Parts: sequence; C-alpha cells; structure tokens
Amino acid sequence: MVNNPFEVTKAVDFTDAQIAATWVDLPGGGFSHLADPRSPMPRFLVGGKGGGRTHLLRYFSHPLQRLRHNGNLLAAIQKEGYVGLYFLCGGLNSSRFAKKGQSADTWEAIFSYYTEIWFGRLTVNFIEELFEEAALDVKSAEVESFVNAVAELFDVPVVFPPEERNGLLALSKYFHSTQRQLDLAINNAALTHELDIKIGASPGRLVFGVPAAAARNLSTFSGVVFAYLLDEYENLTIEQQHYVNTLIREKRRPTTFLVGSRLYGLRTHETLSAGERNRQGSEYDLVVLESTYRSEVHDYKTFCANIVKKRLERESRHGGQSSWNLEAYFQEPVGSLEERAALHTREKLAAGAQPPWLEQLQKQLQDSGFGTDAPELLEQVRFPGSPLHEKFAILLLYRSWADGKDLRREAAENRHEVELLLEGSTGDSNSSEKISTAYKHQRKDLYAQILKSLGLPQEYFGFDDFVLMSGFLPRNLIVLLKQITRWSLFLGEQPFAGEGISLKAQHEGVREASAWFFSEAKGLGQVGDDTQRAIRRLGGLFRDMRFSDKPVEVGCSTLTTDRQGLTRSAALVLDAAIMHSLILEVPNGRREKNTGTLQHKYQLNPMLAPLFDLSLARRGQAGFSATEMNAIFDPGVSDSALGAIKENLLARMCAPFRLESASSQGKLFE
Amino acid sequence: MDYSLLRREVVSSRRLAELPAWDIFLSAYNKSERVNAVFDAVKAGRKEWLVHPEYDFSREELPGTGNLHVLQERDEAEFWRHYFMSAGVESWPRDTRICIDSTGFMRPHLMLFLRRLRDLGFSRLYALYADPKAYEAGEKTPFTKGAVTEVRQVRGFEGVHQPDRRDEDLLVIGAGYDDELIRRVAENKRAARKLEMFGLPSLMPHMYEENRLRAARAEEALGQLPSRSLLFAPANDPFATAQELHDRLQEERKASRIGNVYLSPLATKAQTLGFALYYLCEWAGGPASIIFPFAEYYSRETSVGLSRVWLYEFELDWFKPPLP
Repeated sequence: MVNNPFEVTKAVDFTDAQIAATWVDLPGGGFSHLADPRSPMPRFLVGGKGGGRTHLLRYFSHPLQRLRHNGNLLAAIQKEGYVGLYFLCGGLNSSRFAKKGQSADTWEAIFSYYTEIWFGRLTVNFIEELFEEAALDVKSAEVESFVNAVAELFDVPVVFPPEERNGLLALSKYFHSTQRQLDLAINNAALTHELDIKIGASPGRLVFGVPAAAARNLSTFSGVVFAYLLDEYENLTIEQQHYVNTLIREKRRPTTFLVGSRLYGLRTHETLSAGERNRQGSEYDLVVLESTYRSEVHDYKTFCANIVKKRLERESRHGGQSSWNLEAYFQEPVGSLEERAALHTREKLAAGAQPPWLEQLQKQLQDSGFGTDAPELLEQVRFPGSPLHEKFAILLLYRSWADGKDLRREAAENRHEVELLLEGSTGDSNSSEKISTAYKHQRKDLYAQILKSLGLPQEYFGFDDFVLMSGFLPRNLIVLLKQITRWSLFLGEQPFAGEGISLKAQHEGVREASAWFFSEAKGLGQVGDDTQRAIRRLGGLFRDMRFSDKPVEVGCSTLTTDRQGLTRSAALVLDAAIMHSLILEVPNGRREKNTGTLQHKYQLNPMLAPLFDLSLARRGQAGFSATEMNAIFDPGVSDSALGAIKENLLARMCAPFRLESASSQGKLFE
Repeated sequence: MDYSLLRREVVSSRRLAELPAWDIFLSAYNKSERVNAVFDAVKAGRKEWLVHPEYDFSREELPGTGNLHVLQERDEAEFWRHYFMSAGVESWPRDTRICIDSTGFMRPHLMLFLRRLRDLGFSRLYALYADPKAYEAGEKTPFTKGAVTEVRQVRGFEGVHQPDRRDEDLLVIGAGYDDELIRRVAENKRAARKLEMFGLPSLMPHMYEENRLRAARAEEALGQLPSRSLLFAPANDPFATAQELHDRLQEERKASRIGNVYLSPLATKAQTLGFALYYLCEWAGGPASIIFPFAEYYSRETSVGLSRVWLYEFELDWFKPPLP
C-alpha cells in the first residue's frame, strides 16, 4: 500500500520528530519575526483552524528544542536562552469550573488557583526530568534553596512527604497531591454543592514565582526564559481568560507567554481587576497568521510549496531533486478555453442539435414579445464553430436588451465585433477595444456557464488553484492534497511519480475537501447552525449571479457592505462566519465615494467555491443593501422572504431584465 | 475484572409479561413505541415517567398514566438532585428492587444514575434496553435535534487529570450514528490518540453498516487513526462493552504509558451503561473522564417497532468505593 504523504493534516497528530521533520519556515523574515519565545512581551497567535499555530507553538516547545540539539536538551536551553513549556488549555477541562451550586466569583478564584498549581506542577516536573535526563550533578544546596523558595510562595503551610528525601521529587509530589485534592473537591461539588477549598496562592504567585526561583537558585536556569506556550486558548471561558489576562498584564521575567487561539477564541482582554483591560502593543502583541500570509501572497505560495515539498521528500517521492515544479504533478485540461468549450459541446450535443443556451435565448425572446425578431437575432449570435464566442455574443445581446436598445441593430454590430475577435484581429475603434477587453474578462465565467449548461462539473485543477482555495490556511491545502491523492491512488494512478494526477482525481478530491471544510467550520450552538444556513444562502446567491444571463460582476464571490442597517442577529451571524473562517474579511475595505462610510469587503472562503460552483478568482464584488444582507444573514428571515429578495436582485441579471419593484423590498420579517 | 460474570437476559417483544416485577420502575418518556410498550408491560410497585426537557414536550403531550416527574434541569447532576428529592430516594430501603429502562434516557443522566445509587449505598440496579426493529430513517436518522452547545465531562465522571502529556492521552469513542457528535468529541480532545468502538453485532444486521457509513463522515476530525484503532462490542451488551474496554485499555497500558483517558459513549444506551460500569469499576478518581457533546434537544422518536428487551443486573458494589 502506497502511503499518502498528506494523510496527517493536523499538527496534533504528529509526533515530536514529525513536527521537526515537517517544519517549514516562512519565507522572508521567518516565523521568529512573528513569535519569539524569548520576548518579554506576551503574544497571542490567532487564526482559523489550520493556520499553523499548533505547529509553531510545538516547534518552540522543549521536546523540539531537544531534537534541534541532537537530543541534548540542556545544551538547547542554554543555547536558545529559553525553555518552551507547551500545554493544551483543553487539558484543564475548564467546563468543570462552573455552576455546581457555586457563584461565578468562587469559580474564578478556584480556577486561578488550580491553574497556578497546574503551571507549577508542569514546571517543577520539567526541572526534575531535565536534571534526571541530563544526569546533572546539581548541588543539593541549590535544590534545597529552590524547593524552599517555591514552598514560600504558598500562603498555606507546605508539608512535604516525610519519606521523600529528594527535594525536587518531594516538591513535585506536593504539587501532585494538591492538584488531586482540588480535582476531587471540584468534581464532587456537582453532586454535593459543597466546595471547601483554601486558596493557597494568589494569581501569578506560582506562575511567576517558580521560574524566578529556578533562575535565582538553580544555576542551570540562570538567564533562561520560561516561555509558557498555551494552545487551544478558545477552550477557556471569559472568566477564565480574565485570569490569563491578569498574568499577561503583570508579566514578570523570566516568565513569558505565547498563546495560540482560534479567531473566535479571544473572548476578552479584561483582567481580574474590574475595568482593567489589556491593550494591544502595551500589554500584549497580537499576530493573525492569515493576515500575515495574505500580506505576502507570493511568500505564502512559496511557503505552501515548501510544505508540500517537505512532505513529498519524507515519502521519498521527491528526494534529492533540486529543482521541481509542483504544477507538473497535476494534469491540466488540453487546449484553450475556446477549444475545450467546442470539444465539450460536440461531445455532449447530438449532431445538429441546438445548444441549450440558444434554446433558452429563443424561448426568452418569444416569451418577451420578440418572437418575430427571434430567428434573425439567433442567427446573429450563432457561432457554431466556437461556443465560447457564441456565449459571448449572447451576453452582448442580453446587455443590449437590458439597456433597452434596438436589438436587431445591436446584434448585427456585435456580430461584426465577435467575428473580429474570432479572427484574432481587433478593430481600431474604441468599441472594438472595449469588446475585446470584455471578452477577456468574461471568458472564464462564460466557459463555466457552458459547462453548467452541458451538465459538466466545474473545473478546479493545478497547484496554483489549490493554494488559492486554501484561503490562507495551510491545513486546507493539505486536506485538498490528501483527498486528491486518495482519489488518485483509488484510480490506480501513481501520484507525484507518474504522468500527473488526473483531472478526475483532482475534481473528486476538491469536491470532498470543500464539503469537509463546510461541515468542519461549523461553530458550536445555534449560531453554528444559523451560520451554515447563511453561508448556503450566500453561496447560492453568488451561484445564481454567476450563472445568470447577464452577470453584473465577473467571478463574484465577494460582497461589500457598510454594515449599516444590519439587524443584531444578522451582524452576529456574519461575525460568526468570519470568526470560523467561512467568510474572509478582505483588509482595507474602501470608503464609499459620496458618504465616506467604510465599505467592508467580505469574501466567501475559496474552499467553499467548488460547493457552489464559484470562481476562485476574487475579482468582482457585489454591493448588497442592508435588506439583502439581512435576508442572507438574519436567521429570522424565512426562505420565502429571501426568495422574493433574490428574485428582485436577479431580475436585473436575467432576461427579460425587469427592474426590481420597490414594493417587495423591506418586508423581510412576517 | 471479568464482567462476563454479570447477569443479563433477553425477552422477546411478545413475552414482555415474563419480565420480573420490581419495586420501582423508572423510564424516560418519549414517543418511541419501544419505550411506551415496555412501560405498559412492566410490573412494578411504582412506575415513574421522568420527562427530560431535551424532548421539549408540552404538558398536553405527556402521558396520563404512571407518576410523572417533569424535570426542567438539563444538567444531569441537577436533574437527579431534583428527582431524588421529589421521589425521596434517599429514604428508600437499600434493598429496594429498582429497575430503569435506559432506552429513553439521556446518556449522561443514565450514567450518573448508576453512580448516585452506588453513592447512596444501593447494591443492585436492574436496567432494561429495548431493541428497535429499525431506526426511522436508516443511517440518516437524526438523534440530536438542534446544535451541540458544549462538550464537557459528565458530572460524577470527572477525573483527576495530569498536566498534558500530549502523546499519551487516549480518547475512546463509542461511535453511534451521529457523526456530528463524534466530530465534536474528537475536536474537543484533538491531541488525544483515538480509538473507535463500534457495535458489533449491531442491534439489527443492517445497522452495523449504517453505523460505519455515518461515522466515516467524521474521519477528518478523528485524524490519523493508528493501526488497530477499532474496537468492537455487541451494541446491546453493557458487560461485553465494559470487558472490551477493560481488555483493550489494559493492552494499551502495557504497550505504552497512558496519561489521561477520555471515554465518550455516543452509541446505544446499552453500550453507554457499559462505559459507565467500566469507568466506575476501574477509573473513578484516576486520570480519566467521560466526556459528552451536549445538545439542546433530542428527537422524540427515532426508531420503529420493538424487537426484544434486554435485562441487565448491575452489582453496584463492584464499583470502586466512593471517593472522599
């Protein structure tokens, strides 16, 4: 059985050795520019699922430090100047710290103390293991003073097990038994409603105190930074994040923090002191990984290519090759768009049959009072040798129709221009130039329309398309390649070794990855369901626009809105969609010319493009009114109300191009 | 542990009258034929309907027979706290013959009931599980209604965990039909190594295939499953389920150090009872928890017909002693 090099899609599924082996730095300044575990300034690394946070945080953790220095952790710490203590906030099982007949204040205090113990235990265990692993002959006086210093951090008497002579082990056991007692009390409170806990250390006392005691008393840690690498921060509630924010505010050397969180996971920057709020740049730094990737698109593509290359090298499919071209691993359709359109049409239509787009035009003309002109108009747009040019001629006719122009005259003029295009020559006039430009812009969407009319799937292929689809989340790319490789293997191909992965495998893999992304990005609770519905509505609308007779925009998968007039529910759902990366906020939205209001720009995540037959190119953008935005995003708007809004919107884009009726606007809520 | 020593028997749907009589019989009301038929047939000194808020019944929809306890509490600990107080459970003689029909109960509530009875000093519990003839819409049957709102430890099954020793955590999912639940649990403990347990033999022959089809949809959330990551236990046998968990985790512990263990029973109520039994006998007070994805509402009717009824006898003094 051949291995799929993309089978593992999540950093948590990698062993430490695999994390090291698959590590790829960001081109340009590298990740150390984004996050330095030695920096005294705490930093949040946030982003969507699969942005690379866990990989990065684990890369900084001490097991990886050890691997980077040939198994010598002590040398690693001393050379790199820090020790990375990684832990998943999910391990705290934070939902235990709520309800059970206790007040929120009580839980806030207990969670703080419990986490202090957790941090302390993690740190002491690490020190103990390091000394054991390095077989260090640490002076007993050093250890004793460290243990005493830690014991003094507690506000309660610290009693060590008398049978334990090793001071570090005794301290470790003390942390263990304290945590156990806390666990039992916290867990039993659900059944008893009783919680008798004496808080033994105030917030920060152990988190800052234990590393400080180590640096002061143990020469091994002199000048070493203790970087706590907290991952899955989204698992903590608002009240629990108050505690972490307090630590961040009161940061004290040699302790520092790198915190990884999903976009929606940063719930608050307030601290335990009421009204005190941490400020970005002052108390903490914040890095949104996708924004970094987006700001250097070229580097992002190189980064993705390097990730893929590493995986292929590990599977020895690509070892030793110095120059490589990932595009070559994926088959492309043969011929130009025009040639492919002609080929598909020949294959799908019976000889002599009229293409469906001409059938449709004929019916529309007849239904709209142009029945007598129809034969002549159809003749003017007919280009049997080039269906793509035929579609373009029809589009030009639709445009004239929508503008209320003389169709017979326009059709004749347009035919002349399209004939010039077909010959490959452009006329000298302005209109010829405009038509030539319009054709260049529209041909991909027109080709997509031909595929749809012929009942063929849309085409997504090639490495560049997959990078675009990933929406600046590298994991999406890995999932795409995983599914594509699986299909390729299933079809009996030799992916990354033979003649290139077939279009069929690419198509099927893309379809599955897209469906996966849609369900994977669903958030918890009712808002998760509401967001999914809104995305279906938005994607469906973009699809209808793309396949309308006269699309107003090319490759439309982006909307603009000033957000004014959005209902509270609609705004909540829109924001949830952004937080779960179903929608990407395009930075630097523009100001509206007349009013100066900021127009936000939102792109449907390109991973969803195949699900709705959309283009991957982010070119056109639809400006939606507040009514339209509410119809899409407000869960209170019924499907029938949305249908009416949609009908009006699309009336401008579909023959016979009726103007929308103002009366049907604004009645969203029945 | 040898869970096969515990007693179970099966009664066909036509011979429900042969079931023994109990002092107290508890059942959670829903619209399923299998729940109602069993309630009507059972002989007991007192028969009690408990009504979960998750089924969202209005007063008019509730049955007129039996003692009715309409509970508002979604939290399983609060649910039982209120029921125990209103029914005066603490004053029941400890040799009271109590039987619970597990079929309609929410899984977390069902598990906690075992523990609460043991904590109070009861030594025996009888439990029924009614097999359906089929699920209403095959593998597409929706069991949860509405969104999953949180994944958390089940009250009474919260462990004493160790600071994250990443590679050593283990999550065992009793995979049911609902892939959304599997996905949520896997996501919640995404760093844990995962094992999946399937019901085999399934309740009816076609159900195993349906089960696998649904569970496959959560594949990406489960990540790369190690070889031999599947466990199998009969869908209607809690004792075989507990035995399989016992055997497999013992093997895992021999092969490598396991830090934290998370169990998540998402399949049949019979398997859920097996997970609870295994936990209470072997992990209580240890670095293990049972976790569950809680949804706001559940479907009132998911199955068609009643094929047979299983009777299980739990000896509660098998459990580890109550923790201080």
